[in-house]
Amino acid sequence: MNEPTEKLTEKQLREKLEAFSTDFQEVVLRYHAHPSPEGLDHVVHGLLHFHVGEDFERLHEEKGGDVLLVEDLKVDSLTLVEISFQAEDLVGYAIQIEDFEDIHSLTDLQVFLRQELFPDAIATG
Amino acid sequence: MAELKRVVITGLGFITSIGNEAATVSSSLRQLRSGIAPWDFAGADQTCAVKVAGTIKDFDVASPFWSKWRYPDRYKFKPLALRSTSPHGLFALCAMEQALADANLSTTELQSEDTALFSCSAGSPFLLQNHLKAMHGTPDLRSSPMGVVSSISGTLNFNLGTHYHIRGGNCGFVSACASSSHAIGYAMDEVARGRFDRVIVVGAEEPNADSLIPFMGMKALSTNPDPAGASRPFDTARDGFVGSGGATVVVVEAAACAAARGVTPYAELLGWAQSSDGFNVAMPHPDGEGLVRAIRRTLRACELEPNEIGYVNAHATSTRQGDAAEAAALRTVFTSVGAHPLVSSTKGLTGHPLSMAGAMETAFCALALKQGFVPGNTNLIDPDPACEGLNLPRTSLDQSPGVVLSNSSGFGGSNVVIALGACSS
Repeated sequence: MNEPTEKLTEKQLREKLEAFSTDFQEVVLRYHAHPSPEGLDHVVHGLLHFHVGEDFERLHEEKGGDVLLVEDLKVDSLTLVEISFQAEDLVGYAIQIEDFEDIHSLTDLQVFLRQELFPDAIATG
Repeated sequence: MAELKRVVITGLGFITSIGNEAATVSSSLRQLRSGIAPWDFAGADQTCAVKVAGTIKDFDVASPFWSKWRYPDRYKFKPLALRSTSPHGLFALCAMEQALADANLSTTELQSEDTALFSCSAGSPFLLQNHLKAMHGTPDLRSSPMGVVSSISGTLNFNLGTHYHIRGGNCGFVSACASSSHAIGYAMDEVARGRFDRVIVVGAEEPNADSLIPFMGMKALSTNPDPAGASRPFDTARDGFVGSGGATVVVVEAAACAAARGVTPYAELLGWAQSSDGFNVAMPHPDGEGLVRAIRRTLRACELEPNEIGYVNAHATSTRQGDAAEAAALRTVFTSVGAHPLVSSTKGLTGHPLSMAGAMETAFCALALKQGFVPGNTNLIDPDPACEGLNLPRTSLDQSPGVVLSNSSGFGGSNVVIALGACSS
């Protein structure tokens, strides 16, 4: 199993966030200040918004967490690699590209990261 | 072999220093309105002797992150279209939108097997160095998955070909500042021979320090700080070129296809030719002998005599050697036989946008043919004696240019000449 990666300093984190909107930067900084499964879900949501744009919000409203990364959001393998790198930078967990074989929807991605980063929360429901 | 088809230009798109759509470009050419402005190339704690550039207005692409770029609201691009592209790729997308609408191409025609894309750029040294710096800053040489496709010299092909679902053909041309003239020439051939109904030719470059300032090391750039006077082709006081960038798109199409769609073309592409100096990696042959061959071959290909040419859009970039060599070539081909076409270099207004120069200037010629004007030479106060005998108008003229030649020359001595004429019915 892949281990959580070393936590970035605040300066490093701010550099990694440079590409993102101010709103999303705040979501990530809040998560770092108070890590929680809910905060993690917000980070994942924001990442998909970054890569897909308004189409993501529209499809999310329509399909909820069942929205499919490849079929609905047209996320390709390059973007999956980028999401993997960004997950490592922003939430401290490097998703392996082969992990995406079992990650099809937004909920799959959120649950996967929750299981890896908050195993106790999952176990206790 | 089947008879060659007539080839015309049916659509144009511009993101240039002198305007971001055809109407503004046309009025800038007619009124000699310069696109050159002060530009700070130097980073913190640095100085740079080059103080001006042919700048692109209404865009902010200073960030290496596509998500931070700002561009006119009328263009709507999703993250998928921008994530793997470069600043000049954004310029090209905007110019494509204009050209496709201008040519009135349907999605079916655009995505048919008979539409190809030829493009030219030097890639994005700006993004490439950012990606490499980031890569070398990681312990395991981790690199962005978008690093290659956004920055190497094929980036326009990768991104535009995918975004517009081009299915006929997709390739790039590399001959430095002659690149997009080569692309137009070969596009003309492909359409004339019936291989494609149309080829969309794209030239684009980035007017930033990473693309332009390395030319300072060759002493090729003007250090004149006056934006109004720094680019002065054929003038005695010229001291180098002013760098520029942007994007130009030219839709090259079979005349019969244009007629079937009811589109009135800008101009007819009559022929083209090329030559190689075989002389120096950067400088042209001082007598312009390679360019002489290219012009004469073009005239032969079009069955034209020198005195049938009305206007030459010169490559002249405002360098001492380049302008003098081109003037020598023009005198050899034209003046020596008593022909006196009007000659101007529009780079006095635009600056020099490197590989996109040929597409941009062919597009200027197409505008001039359709609208009936000849662009003048700005900043031509004291013509270089090397230009003696050339007919160099100081102002733009409201007259039909007649048959037009557009010259381009690139490093290594590549010369390309495109001949255009007004569309006959």
